[in-house]
Amino acid sequence: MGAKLALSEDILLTVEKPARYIGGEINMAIKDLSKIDIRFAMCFPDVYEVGMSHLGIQILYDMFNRREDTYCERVYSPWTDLDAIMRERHIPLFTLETQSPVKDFDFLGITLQYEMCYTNVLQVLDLAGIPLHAEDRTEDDPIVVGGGPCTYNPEPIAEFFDFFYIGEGETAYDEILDLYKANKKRGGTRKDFLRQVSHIQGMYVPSLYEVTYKEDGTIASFTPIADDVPAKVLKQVVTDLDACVYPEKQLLPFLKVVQDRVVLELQRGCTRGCRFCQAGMIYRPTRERSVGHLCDIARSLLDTTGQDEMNLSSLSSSDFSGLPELVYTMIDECRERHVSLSLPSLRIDSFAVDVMQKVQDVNRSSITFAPEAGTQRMRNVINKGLTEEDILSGASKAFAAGWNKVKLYFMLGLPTETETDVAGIAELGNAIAREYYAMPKELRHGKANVTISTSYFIAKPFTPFQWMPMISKDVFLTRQRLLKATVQEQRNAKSLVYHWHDAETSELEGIFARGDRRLSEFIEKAYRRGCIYDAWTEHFKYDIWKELMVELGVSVEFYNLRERPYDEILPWDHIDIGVKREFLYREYEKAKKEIVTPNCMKQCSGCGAAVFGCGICVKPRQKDGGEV
Amino acid sequence: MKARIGFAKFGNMRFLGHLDVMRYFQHAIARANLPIAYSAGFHPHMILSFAQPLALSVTSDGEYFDLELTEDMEATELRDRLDEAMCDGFAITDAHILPPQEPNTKKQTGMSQIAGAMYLCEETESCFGKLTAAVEAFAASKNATVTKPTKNGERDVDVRAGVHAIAIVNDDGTLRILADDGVFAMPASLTEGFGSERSKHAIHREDAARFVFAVSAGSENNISVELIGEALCNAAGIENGRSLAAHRMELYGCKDGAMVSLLTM
Repeated sequence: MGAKLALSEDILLTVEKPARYIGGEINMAIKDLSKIDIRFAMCFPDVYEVGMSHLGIQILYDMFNRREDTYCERVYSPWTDLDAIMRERHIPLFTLETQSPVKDFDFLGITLQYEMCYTNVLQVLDLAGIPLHAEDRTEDDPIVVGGGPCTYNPEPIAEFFDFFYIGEGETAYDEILDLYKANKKRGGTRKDFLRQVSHIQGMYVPSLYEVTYKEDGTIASFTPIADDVPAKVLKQVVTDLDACVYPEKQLLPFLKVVQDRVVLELQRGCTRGCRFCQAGMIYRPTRERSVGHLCDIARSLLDTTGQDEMNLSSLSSSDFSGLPELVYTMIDECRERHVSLSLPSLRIDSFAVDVMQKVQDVNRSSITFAPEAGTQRMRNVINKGLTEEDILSGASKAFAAGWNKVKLYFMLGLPTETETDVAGIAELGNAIAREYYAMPKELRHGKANVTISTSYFIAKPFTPFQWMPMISKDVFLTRQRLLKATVQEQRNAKSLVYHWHDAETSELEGIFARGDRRLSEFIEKAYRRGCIYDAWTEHFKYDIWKELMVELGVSVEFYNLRERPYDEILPWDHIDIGVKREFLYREYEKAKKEIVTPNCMKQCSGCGAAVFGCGICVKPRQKDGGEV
Repeated sequence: MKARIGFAKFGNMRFLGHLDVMRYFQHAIARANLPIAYSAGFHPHMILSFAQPLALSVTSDGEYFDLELTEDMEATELRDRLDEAMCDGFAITDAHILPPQEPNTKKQTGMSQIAGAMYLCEETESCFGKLTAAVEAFAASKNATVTKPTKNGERDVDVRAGVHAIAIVNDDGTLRILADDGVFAMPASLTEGFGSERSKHAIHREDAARFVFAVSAGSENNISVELIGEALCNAAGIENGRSLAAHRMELYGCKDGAMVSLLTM
């Protein structure tokens, strides 16, 4: 019959999609609480359908539950309808598996995938009845730990966490949990535990560091409060992906979730070194799984879930060396099983067109390019190794194979961008449409459909652009209007569609991305005034944020619009991703000079990630005369 | 080969909507590795046909869907393999091989055959102690009109005519029949035979009054539990709300003027 539900029948029949709150999914871990020493609540601070789509949680959930002494359960942000009911009736936030209050757990782990979830983090803590500030927590409260990409600059939310796990989750949790158990057995306190945790590589305990500021608002010093606390926190890295745990039984939700498919992670990291891309730096070095291992995982995932779609996931699938072997093996197996295969982030070449013809419906699907910038000059600045020729020849191959829909992704506001670069976006779209109409009429299927989408460039920590200014919202809007007008002027304007992003969310995201500890008050006040689900356009309350910016003196100029000097202490400088600050700065200077850097497969540029001694860093390269 | 599968839906799974139940079974059939037939076209889908959606919060011991297989299988093997793929809250109760369709006849699916349903209902907390009298009055009445929302606004319907049999469940589980037009074969009790088999997964709160309703169902005249609940509220002068918690005991088709289980239609 399943666990006794935390919510009453009346509430469940009032809220939208009650299946969000009942648990009981296929492959859910069920354990006897009387035999458990450590209860770990794993949270994705967004609605169920978003949280359940995330592979990282699946991996950690499976890994924790392999430990006999640990029971990992899940918790997601209640949707706004239930949120209101829980506050009104004082219902504490509960986990899905045993439907028990989160406050009763030993740990609350929160994954931080995007900055706009920060108010949801506070929602989760608040509904759980856990003090928002780490310093106010007692021995009865769970240890609140954060992980995921936002922890590479966790400063804006540092006060709300007991510690952050920097890097890949598969490596150090056993040590952490063993430490926790031993500390508890000894009668040690929460403080004792956190102090010991800070000695493990990758663990950042914000309360053990002191920050002082200069008069201009920049950081004067950032220092550990004691000698045994490391001044630099080096991220955790999995050195051999084939040897590390992978969930062979992924949780299968009842509801249709955002990523309604099983996910096969081909590799981690990306060799391309695009200068705006944080993922391309923080996940270095690039490491691959073997094709044999991937095929085994794929079969087991499909057997244990019965899913009818599988996604081959990676930052840049085309760079995965075993891709043809894997894809051609899996295409046949998938066809027999009536499973469809999806391959995002594929560079469009002959192989890609062949694969896509086999796995997609040519009439319905579209092909996607992410040139990111409209002119070659701009692409050199961002080190996007994709030429206009690559794009046009890829598009014409796809057109010849029957496609007529193309999606293009760009960024506006990249460093050094001029009006020529903006207009170049429309011109590239036009050139693609021209390729289509250059085909003989009998080969065409109606009109070409080229969709241009632009987003607002956000400078991220640990990228060569971390010192760069962003453009202001007003300038951004001006460039959007310019692009819109230029699109309309194109010869093939009728085949072009332009989509754009709202600027307000991005402005705030920029503030959080490179923000410091002083922003915690800003986030907390926004939450207190009713901001949650900021990542959802319909719930984003810009007025409240704007009002608080004025009230608290949170300056867009300071966080987003100024160039940071090299000698400024950045809020994330105490975190060490292996890639050196000097390398990033070298890249920053090369960007200004429009000089490209070859990708790691061709040549090592000495970024520093070799310190981990694995992946691409230990493989022979073209330049060394080795095989690629 | 075509087969009809009987299943139960209960416990926390009563909060799964119909679309999610269909998805759930598609995944379960794939996990059970059944030789399921697929439709043609670029987006083939499993050939499955579900009998009748169950409203949220209603449990059931009488659900059905039809499937088509590309290879012949024993009914027991089909039932057991699928049952093994179930999670807590679903159970496969039966599998019945359907006779091949006779040439030149209209395709018969479980859905189009539905003519009746039997529900075990109990009063909700908000109506505690109030519903027995209402049920008695309802049973004694000739008609009971409620307003039913339709595609084009609202329509008044007579609920009473579609309710063929009404019974109150005594404390010992036996049934006190209040009305019965003979269309359905009513069980004698909920502790023996058909009654116990089909009330297995019903949720029962101590002391709540329980009733059995045998009603018309399907495309022609579908009487839902909500409509009965509304009629009872009207009769008892209770402010409208959810008055009945329901459990579906069985779905029926009509054969020679009599209601027979959908499984063997």
